[in-house]
Amino acid sequence: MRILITGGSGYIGTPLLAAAMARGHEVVVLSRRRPAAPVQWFPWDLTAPVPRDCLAGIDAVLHLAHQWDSSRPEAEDENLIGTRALLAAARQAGIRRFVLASSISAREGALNRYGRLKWTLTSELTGTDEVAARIGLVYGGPRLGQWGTMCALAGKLAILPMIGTDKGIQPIHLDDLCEGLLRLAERSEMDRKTWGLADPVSVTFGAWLRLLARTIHHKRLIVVPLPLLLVLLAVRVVNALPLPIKVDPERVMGLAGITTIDSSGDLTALGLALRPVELALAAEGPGPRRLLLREGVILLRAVAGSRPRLRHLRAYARGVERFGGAKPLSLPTTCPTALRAFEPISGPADPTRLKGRLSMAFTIADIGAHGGATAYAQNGEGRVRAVLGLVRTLAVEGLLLPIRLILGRGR
Amino acid sequence: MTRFVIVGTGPAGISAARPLLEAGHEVVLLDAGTGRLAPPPADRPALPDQRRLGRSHLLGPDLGGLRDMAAYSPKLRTCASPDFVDGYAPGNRLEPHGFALVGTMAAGGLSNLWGAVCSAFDDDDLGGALPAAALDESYRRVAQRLGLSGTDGDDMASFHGRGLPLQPALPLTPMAQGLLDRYRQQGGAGDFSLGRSRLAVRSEGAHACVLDQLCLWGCGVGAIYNSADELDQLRAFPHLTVEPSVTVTRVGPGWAEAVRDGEILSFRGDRVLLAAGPPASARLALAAMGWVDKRLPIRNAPAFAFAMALPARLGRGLPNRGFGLSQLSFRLDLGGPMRNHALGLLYDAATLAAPDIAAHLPLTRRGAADFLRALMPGLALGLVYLPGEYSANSVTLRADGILDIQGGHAPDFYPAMRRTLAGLGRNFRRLGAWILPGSASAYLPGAEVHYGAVLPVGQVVSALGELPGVPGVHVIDGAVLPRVPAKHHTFAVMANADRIACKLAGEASS
Ligand SMILES: Cc1cc2nc3c(=O)[nH]c(=O)nc-3n(C[C@H](O)[C@H](O)[C@H](O)COP(=O)(O)OP(=O)(O)OC[C@H]3O[C@@H](n4cnc5c(N)ncnc54)[C@H](O)[C@@H]3O)c2cc1C
Repeated sequence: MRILITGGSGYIGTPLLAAAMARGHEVVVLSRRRPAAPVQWFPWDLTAPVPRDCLAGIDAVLHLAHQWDSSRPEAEDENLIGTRALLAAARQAGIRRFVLASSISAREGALNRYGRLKWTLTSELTGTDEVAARIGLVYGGPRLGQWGTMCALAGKLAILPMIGTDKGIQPIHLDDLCEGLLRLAERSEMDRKTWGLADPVSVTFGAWLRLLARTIHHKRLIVVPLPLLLVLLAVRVVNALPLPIKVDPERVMGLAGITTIDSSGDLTALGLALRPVELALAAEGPGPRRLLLREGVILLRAVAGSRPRLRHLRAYARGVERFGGAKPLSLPTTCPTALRAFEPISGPADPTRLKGRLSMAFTIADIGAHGGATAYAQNGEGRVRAVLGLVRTLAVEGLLLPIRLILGRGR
Repeated sequence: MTRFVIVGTGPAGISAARPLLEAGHEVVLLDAGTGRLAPPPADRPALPDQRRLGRSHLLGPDLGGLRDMAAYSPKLRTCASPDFVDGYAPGNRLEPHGFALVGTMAAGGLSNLWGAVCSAFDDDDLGGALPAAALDESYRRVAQRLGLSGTDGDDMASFHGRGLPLQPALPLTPMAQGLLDRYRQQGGAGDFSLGRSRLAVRSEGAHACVLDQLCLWGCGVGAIYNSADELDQLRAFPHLTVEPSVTVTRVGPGWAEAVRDGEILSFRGDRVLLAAGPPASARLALAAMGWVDKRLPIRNAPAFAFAMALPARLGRGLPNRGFGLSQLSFRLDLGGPMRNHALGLLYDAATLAAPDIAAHLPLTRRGAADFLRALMPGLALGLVYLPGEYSANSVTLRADGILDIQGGHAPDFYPAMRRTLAGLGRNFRRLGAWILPGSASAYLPGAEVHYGAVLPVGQVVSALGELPGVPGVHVIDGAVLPRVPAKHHTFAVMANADRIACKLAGEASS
């Protein structure tokens, strides 16, 4: 097939292109930026006329392009203008299959403009082979777009105040989405107008953020629900202030207006089995090597009190891979100083557990040249400093002992 | 010309090979190892410089230093690649339970990384079964080969053995020297003596110790005796054949059967001498005698470690030169019904690695680094050995050919350890040194690697180590020692192998 993809250089467009080409399709792209893949490309944005030659020989159009910021009134929104132009051109060129990338939030009277626009456009798909894909919350792949923002959000803080935490979201992995969109382009019979491409089982937005924190960042996140009205008020205030940041109330409304759909029938009809969210997210997290390096930073800091050198870190990761079972630990805290409170007092230095890993880190720090504390004062510290150091160390360790007795148990 | 087949190229096997070769006999050396432990470069920077530079050399070969070896000598961690000790038990069909079995399949055996501490056994140490005088000549010859260094001029000299050819003692670290000076001023205390350690470390000649403090990470200049070095010297004898990579699986009168790469080989000789390390030699011997399901004691010298601080040295600098093995030895009379004494060694903590010491401290790793930094200039590590009578291990050859090793301490080991600690505490306090409370920890049975006395001379084997009922097969390693006293036994094992070989060489020649 020959497929026209608009927005082919974006977060979804890029892997979609690759997937389409991998299936032997010829691909033509309309987008603002040149796509990375070597395909036929026409520069286009939604306000420009549709390039004449782009539709020649096309079997299906996958319309992904969307412009987020608009200074125009809603009725003249670039997305309406551009999509209508594209649709008209496609019809004129005799192309029957037109797939609009829409959203679960596409509803009449949706809270946000995005939802309303997609609703309007969906209702204009009158041809039998003109359909809309109601896409859920897309995750996975490069940390771009909304996915990138969410990942960052879930990783930054220990406590995250958030609106819409009780709303149900329906995730879909980027690769599953590409598969679904291609199946819509390839499908012979179009027996439905809209196709839900989203997990039939929803999770609350709060749980989703916690899941991201756990699987992607290997940390715990506390999500505190915020009342919507308060946030809207705050957004107004922030935007009224002469601050370098502006918050788009549209985003807030998008979160507040989330709804759920029943996508199970659509998925079955497409023969699409979505990957289990938790497993897929786990694969999106950093690989074991990166986790070990991160663990090494914390543990080496804990034992030496300084930022470790790269070669120390490498030795740590390789050591754990070779002798410590290679599995990253789930650390009780990422603060190196606080980690001391969790160090077990006695017991074997099992290298698959905290005590053994700390010993490993200590052995590495012991080779020296990291700028932190070492056990060797080669030229002598002088009597007074040595005695003071000893007293201080023993005082700190004395205080830590009962805490370690409790927190270090079973580690 | 008589043909001798010797199993093993550790200190025992080499000690027997030399006199046989010198007497003109044909010797076939069979060794399961393919090679020796690669020695570190001779021109590496000294320990303090390595620490300044952060050399990953200190992490051992293949990062082997990152293994958890807290229950063993730190040398296994710092010197040996991880596979150095792995093959011994499976290759020899040994199954230890509660016993920290250490052995290797390598040219030179465990002398690739031993601590090189040497003391001659006296009549007491030999338990009367073998007169110490019978070993006198051999001690002298072995001392020469070892490049033994030390002194006859202190309180430990008669304990280590007097009248041996000695190279001058190596210079002590300031901490050890200070302690020894205090001891000299105060005089001995009857039940306690302190002196220099006697070491198989050269202080003279082409292979003299360069005092780079890196002993724990392997010797780069060949100053520490390694029988793999001597094996290379012996290759000059034309009537020596060395067969590497052959694991001996069975022996009998005049033959040894072995495997190399899955292929079964047979070696013939007029006599077969077993020196595969006591556990492996014992298995081969028991199988040859057909002693299945018979439980025999195997001794070790139960050991414990402690840390000791010399407050007078707080805040001083660390030594820039020195050697990293045992600086001083001490002896404490044990009294009680058990025989004689405990032997101890003192190491200068600065020549060891802090993590090994910290492993026994209840502090956090960070706290331990701070704590050790303050104490290091005056920190000594003690290693104390009790006589083998405090061990309670046994070996049994099972019908399936596996040697089952059960480890254990005798019930009075812990009381004896406490008594010893108390006695040491008292004696060291007089010298201004304090054993750190809570620092003492017992080694697992076997972890100190002083194995022996499974087939004691005079009880099981003949005076020449020959197996009853299996003529021509001799055990010449620690397995046939009549006792395992507190003293380090390799020097006696080598002297005994030399004695047996000299006798056999003489018999064969006449
Ligand atoms: C860390 C450490 C420190 C030590 N420090 C000291 C010390 O300070 N003083 C002291 O006296 N002792 C010390 N020892 C003990 C000392 O190393 C041993 O007592 C000594 O090496 C024993 O010599 P050996 O020849 O009997 O056996 P090994 O040294 O064990 O040699 C055995 C030889 O037999 C070979 N072999 C094994 N099985 C077979 C087989 N089936 N077929 C063919 N070949 C085989 C091996 O390859 C090896 O060459 C120490 C040991 C260790 C591990």
